[in-house]
Amino acid sequence: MSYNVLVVDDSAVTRSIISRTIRLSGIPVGKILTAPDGAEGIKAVSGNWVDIVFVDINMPVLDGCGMVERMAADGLLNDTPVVVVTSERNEDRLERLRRLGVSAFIEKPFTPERLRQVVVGILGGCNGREDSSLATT
Amino acid sequence: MDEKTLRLLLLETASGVLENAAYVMIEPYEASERPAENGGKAEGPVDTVKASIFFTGSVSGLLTMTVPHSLAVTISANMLGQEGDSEESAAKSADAVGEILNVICGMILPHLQGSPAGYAMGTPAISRHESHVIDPLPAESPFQPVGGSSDEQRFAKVVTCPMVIEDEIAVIELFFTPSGQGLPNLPQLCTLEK
Repeated sequence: MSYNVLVVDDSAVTRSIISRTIRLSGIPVGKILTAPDGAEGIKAVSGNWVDIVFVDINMPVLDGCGMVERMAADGLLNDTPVVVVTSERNEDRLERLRRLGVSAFIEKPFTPERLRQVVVGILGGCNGREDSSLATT
Repeated sequence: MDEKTLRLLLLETASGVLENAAYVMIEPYEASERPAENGGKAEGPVDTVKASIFFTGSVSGLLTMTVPHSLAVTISANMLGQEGDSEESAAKSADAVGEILNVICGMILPHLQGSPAGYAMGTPAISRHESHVIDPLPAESPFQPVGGSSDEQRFAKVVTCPMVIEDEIAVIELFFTPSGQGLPNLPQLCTLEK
């Protein structure tokens, strides 16, 4: 079985880094979809089978909080694991995302090892859903 | 937080981000180590990339980072794990500088605001300038026009934080709005910068 991944970030460099790291993570990966903002991200996750979403917070058009809110309100999307990859340290927004059921948070700058750990934890079924390094900081 | 503390915060944060994300070494800028004929400025005009991010909260303002284009390509290549002269690293060089500043801004804002909540930051706006001399020295006047000339578009430049990255001069600048003013023109300024 291979997993389809969606990476949503307004930085093309970050989309490339996350995509490459996932490819090298050892997890069987099918399609890696990318989107530059939350609105395009919603289109991508609605129109494709996606097993895990990586999303930034600060983005134009529709930010990461907005995208996660829309996913949480959609019965077909609210079970899809979401990993927030962000430079955002604002506790207001992080708490809002925790309440929406985000699976994990990864702080930028991140190491490939950290991202791999989260991917394996969630897709490998090894308690990744509770990973939340930002939750306690 | 005084100017010296702010400069140290910017330098240490930028060093950590650039070293961990782009694998480049940062040194503090020392004017005395630069050729006197340039007045301590960068060696001649160079093409530059400038990223800017607005923020609002208990203090509001603008954070900018200006680097030579050649350094932007190096940063991009290192972030992508590619050779410096690859097509992709050149194409994504401005984006890479924006992302670096985005991370720096996210890390310093809780310190600037004095709180882990109650503030917001924008997304990076990028501009490119040809034949630009990067000035690592603080301006004589603290008030600088940013993206326009009217009074409400003036920000107080609080800190100029020059640094040497891979032997090239780069500058991070921090601007605050004058006390008591909001940032009604930020979207327009953001558009102008692009």
